[in-house]
Order: sequence, then structure tokens, then C-alpha cells
Amino acid sequence: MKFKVMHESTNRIRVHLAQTRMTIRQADILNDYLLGLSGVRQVSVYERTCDAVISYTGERALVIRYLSVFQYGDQMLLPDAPDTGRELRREYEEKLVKMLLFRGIRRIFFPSHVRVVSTLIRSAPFLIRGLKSLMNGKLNVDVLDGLSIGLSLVRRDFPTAGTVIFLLKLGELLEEWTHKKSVDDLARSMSLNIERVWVKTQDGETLMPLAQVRAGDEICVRMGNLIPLDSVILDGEVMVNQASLTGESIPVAKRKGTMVYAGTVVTEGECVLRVEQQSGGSRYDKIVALIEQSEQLKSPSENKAAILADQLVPYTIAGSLLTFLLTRNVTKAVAVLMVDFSCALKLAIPMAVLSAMREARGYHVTVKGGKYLEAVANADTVIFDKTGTLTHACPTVSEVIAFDGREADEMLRLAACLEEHYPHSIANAVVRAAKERELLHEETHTQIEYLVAHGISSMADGHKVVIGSHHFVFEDESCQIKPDDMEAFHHLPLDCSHLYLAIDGILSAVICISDPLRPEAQAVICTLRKLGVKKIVMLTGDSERTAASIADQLGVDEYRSEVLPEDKADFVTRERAQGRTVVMIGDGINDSPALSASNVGIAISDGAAIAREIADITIAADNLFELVSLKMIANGLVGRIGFNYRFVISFNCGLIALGTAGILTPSFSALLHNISTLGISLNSMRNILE
Amino acid sequence: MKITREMVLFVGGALFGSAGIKLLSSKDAKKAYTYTTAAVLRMKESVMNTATNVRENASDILAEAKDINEARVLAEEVVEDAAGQE
Repeated sequence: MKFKVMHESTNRIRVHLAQTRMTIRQADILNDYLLGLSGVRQVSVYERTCDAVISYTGERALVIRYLSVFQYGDQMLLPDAPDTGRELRREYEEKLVKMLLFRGIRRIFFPSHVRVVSTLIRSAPFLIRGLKSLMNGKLNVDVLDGLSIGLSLVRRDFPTAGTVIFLLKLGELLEEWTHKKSVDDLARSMSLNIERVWVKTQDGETLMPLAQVRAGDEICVRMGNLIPLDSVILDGEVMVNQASLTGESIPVAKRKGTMVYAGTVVTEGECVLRVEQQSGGSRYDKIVALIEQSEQLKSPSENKAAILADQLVPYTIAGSLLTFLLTRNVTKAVAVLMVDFSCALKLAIPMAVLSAMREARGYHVTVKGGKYLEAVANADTVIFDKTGTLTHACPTVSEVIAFDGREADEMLRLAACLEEHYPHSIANAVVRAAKERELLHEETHTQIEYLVAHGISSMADGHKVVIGSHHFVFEDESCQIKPDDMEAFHHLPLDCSHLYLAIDGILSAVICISDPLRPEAQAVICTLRKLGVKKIVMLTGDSERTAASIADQLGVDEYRSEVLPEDKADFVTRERAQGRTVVMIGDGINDSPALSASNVGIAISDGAAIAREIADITIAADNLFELVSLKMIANGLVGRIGFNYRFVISFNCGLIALGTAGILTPSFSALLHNISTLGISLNSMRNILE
Repeated sequence: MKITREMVLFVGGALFGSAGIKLLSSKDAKKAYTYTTAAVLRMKESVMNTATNVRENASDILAEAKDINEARVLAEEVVEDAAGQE
């Protein structure tokens, strides 16, 4: 596409695309395309002016070349470009500018008596709202707003009334905008991961975009995945977690012929479903509705702010009356009334919370509600489920130790031959290790018997082969160790788990499987402790010896080895019973009970869908330091809320004092009050981390 | 005098009541309203475009200003280095 370079500075370029107008969709496509290029750091596309600002770290020539080959119609780009909420932003920007513009026009062009009429008209809704609250016997912020506007009108102080109305309206608009935006962002990030489903066709299963699935199609959903659409079970029996619908976290059994609902998750088993209702806006709308109902957006301090604001109203009114009685001066009394704490608290604190949530998203952390951020800031105990959080959940074979005079490579070959039929992570590790060592094998074994969570047994070349856990090989199958091998057996490496292989009842090899720790894990734990976490715990299914060795490496305060899923939830509950605020971090299906039992459940976003659905916060686990960023944002937010409280209360008390002393006129104190409110709201929207 | 004024007002009112309303709701008048509305909308668009343009230019200026400061800091560092070597 043709374009013109408008401005250049170091590693930044602004270009104007050669087109007369740019649609919102086009802007999203261009934005997505540019961000996807390597060496591009940041992009803003301005659809109104057809301009794009690109910050890059790579080479300039490359950026220019990519820009010149760009085409909107490129089929590769079309389906992938996400909706970025540009439309919403545009809508509110327009509203905001309109509001400012009209105020300017009124002030400059309207003759004074027309201005009076327009002020009267615009004040009517506030007066009515105040009266309504008063009639219901409530003395809240609406009453105060109505009173201060009404009194200004009675005193024929129309400019002050106009300013108060304008600022109240501006506050309402900003609040509505930020609220809508955060709901929109959240809903988008939550509905993102289920865009494709497995559809049954004549030649097997194909992965199809959700939008192409029609009512009546048959789809397959497996363990840990989200049911994308309302449907009926045709085949299979599953346990379904319906927490997103009912709030009940215990899974429900669903059989053939029963109905399952969009947004619920299969926790066990797999099933074939017949779609009843195809996707439309409904799924997205459902998520939006869900978030809005659940009131998760409100953090405790937001509620506290709203309640406090209402509670302060009677005192403000009483103070104003008292001033009038003492001084007999209406101006002074009104000056007190003009300063209400409410709008400052009501505006600044939600702004701070929402902007912190937005900032967290920039670090690939999705927070489902403000209250979770506050809980993270107050966290006493952080519990890690080892697999998938402290490690990459990608086990590898670190060593093969042969016994009974056998060849290590031969044993690995045999193990791979049996394990390749079972797609779980340890089996994959064995098969991959065999492939890396170029150990090919032919199928020599007979029918394989697979015992869940224990192991495999089969016959190969006329010998009975068993592979599995210590318990399975030595207790269930009562295999023996040759006396000569005892010495070596007691010196197996400690920091990995072991897979035992026995031929004809004699131990032949031990395959050491290790799941390497993330390189940053130790540093993250250390930093979390500096940020105020008192106790860091690791839970793992590993044996006691392995767990102790890893816990020592990481420097955690406490660890639990050989834990079962239900133990994890118990552990969380016990910690909470001791009055601690608990953060649980996990990734798998079996972490879900623990995630929902904790104050804040954090899930790794490429883990199981169920964990993501239940969790209060999800992080993209490219790097565990995101956890540190999250904690820092949460701490910063709580600090900022405290500052807002102190500032709003002390500044406005000062204004009241000056008003009563007669130093400030009502209109000037209203102006100062409103400017400080706007100032503190804007300050609350700044990024916490730099 | 007074009577003439009142007569003029009366006749004017009667005229407006019969012909004036018709004029204001006529096809031509409607056309004029449409064009005026379109003009107002265009004005709004142009205001929004100008606002965007101002924002873009402001960010250009900011980026360039940062460059200037960066260059200054670099220049000072070079001088310090030279001083250190002596």
C-alpha cells in the first residue's frame, strides 16, 4: 500500500496511508498486522486521519518494506485481526468533545438570558433526582447535588450552577466510559480462547471456527475444555463444572440425552454433542451480562467510597446549616455546601481500580475484578502448584539407569515402544527422548494393558514387561531387585521423579524424569517476599525426597509432597481458617478446587480451560515475572487509594474552613473543589509502574 | 401611532400564521434544514479530525523533544569521558 512519511524521530515513524477514509475494521487489521511484525514495539493507528505511528526496535527499512506490501484484502489477515474496542473509544471520544464544545459555544455565543434558560433546563434532572431521594427518606449524594445546584439557582448564581452541572455530567460520562471499556476488555479476553471447536464430519474430526458451526452439527469436547454452545449430549458421560452459570463449583454428572450449556466446562471424560443453538452475539453478550451482574468489578474500597460519600452528606448539610446560623451569611453557608466529598471519592477510586486493571492487561495479566487486586495486595500466603507454574510442565528424560546388566538405550527403546500409545506428558517425554537418541523400534509387543495413574503391562518377545510407578512395579506386580543392584538403586538421583521398568519380574531400568524449574522461579519467589508476602508454599505430587530437594533450591518457606487434588483445596482452606489472605497459583484441571477455595485464584492462561474459567486472575506464563508485576500493581493501587482518601478529605476540609471564614466565595470554592476532583481522577489514571 | 403599530403587528401575525408556517414546513425549507444538519455534522467531523491531528502532532513533538534531550545527555557524557582521560 502507498503511504507517506509524515514525521520521523529515533525508532519512531508516523506515516499517512494513501486512502481517503479508513474504516474501524481496517484500522484494527492494520494495527494487528503491524504489531505482529518482528522489531515493532508499539503501534497506534488513527483511523480518522488514516495515520499510523510505529515505534520499532528493529531496522527502519524493514518496517517500510512491510508497510509497502501491506494490503487490507489479504485473506491471511482478515480472520485473525481482533476487535480492539476502537468503536467504543470513538463513541466516547465524540461524546466528550461534544460536551466540551457545547459548553464553549454556550459561553461564547449565547446571550446571558438564553444561558440562564439553558442552565435551568439542564439543572432539572438533578433537581428531580435530589427530590426523589429526599421523598424516599434518603439523604444521599443526589440530594446534595440537587441542593447545591438548587441553591445556586435561587441565589441567581447561574455560572456556578452551570459549572457544577457540567462537572457532574463530565464525571458521569467518564465513569460510564471506563466501566464499559473494562467490561468490554474483560469479555473479549474471556471469549478469546474458544474460537475453534472440533466438529465431527464424514472423514473424522476437523477443527472449525466457532462462527461456522450450525445448529444440528456434532462436536466433540474433551476433558478440561469449554462447552462452546448450548447442546445435547449424543454420546459419552461427562462431569461438567457449571460454576460460570450457577456458581456451584462441584461438577455435575451429565449423561446421554441431557442438555449442557455454553460456558460450562468438562472436567472429566469426553463427549459428542449436538449443537442446539448456533453462536451469535449471544455468547459474548452472555459473558458481558455475567460480568456486570457479578459485581466483581466493584472492589471493597470502591463500595466503601460510595457508602462513605453518602454517609458524609448529612454532615455537610448540617455544617452548612450551622454556618448559616452562626454567621447569618448565606454566601458562607453555600460555600460549605459546594464542597462535597462525594464526587471526588466516587470518581477517583473507581478510576484508580479500573486503570490498574488496564495496566495489568498490558503485562498479559487479566484481572476479573477490582477486589482481587486488593486481595493480591493484602496477600499473606502465596501457594504454588509446582507443575506448570514453577516449571514449564514439560517433563524430559534426564537419565536412563540400567540394571540387571542391561543396555540403557535398549531399555529406553522398549519403554518408548510401549509408552507411545499413551499421550500423557511423561509418556511423551520418553518417546521424545528415544527419538532424540535415534532409537527406532518395531512393534514387538502384544496387546497393552493400561492402568490409570499406575502403569503399563504387556508382553514383548515372549517376556512380560511392566512400566510404572514404584507402587505399581514393586507392590502390585511384586517385581524384585537383584542383590548386586541394591547399591546403585539406593543412589538414584533425588531431584527428579522415577519411572521403573521391569522384565519378567526383575527390575531392569529406572528412567529419571525431570521437569526443569523455570530459570526465573527462584528470583520471583525472592522478589515476592520483598513485596510483602509472608509465606510461600509449594505443593507437588512428587515424592518427599524430590520435593525437599526442589524446595531447598527455590527457597520456599514450606512444601507439601505427594499431594492429591483434594488435599490442595484442604491446605488452602486451612490457611484461610488461620485468618490469612491466600493466593493460589495453578494451571491444571486438578487445581480448580484449590483455585476456587482461595481468596484469589491465579491460573496460567495456556493451562486447562476450567482453571482459566474459575480463576480470578489469569497470567500468560511466558515469564513468571508477570506475577511480580501484578503484585507491584496491586500494592501500588492500594497505596494510591489511601492517598486519594487522605487528599480528598484534607483538601476539601481546608476548602470548607476557608469558605466558612469567608475567604473563598461559593463559586470559587466550587471551582477549586471540581478542579481538584478532576486532577485527582486524572492522577489515578496514570500507570503505576513505569 | 399606537393603533398603526398594533395593526402592523396584527397583520404580520396573521400573515405568519397562514403563509409563514407553510413556508417553514415547505419542501424547500426542509431542504435547507437537511443541508444545515449535514453542515453541522461535517463540522463535528472536522473538529474531531483536527483534535486527532493535534494529538498526533503533539506526540511527534514529544518524541522529538526526547531525542533532543537524549542527544544532549550523550554529548555531556562524551565531554566527561574526555575529562576523565586527562
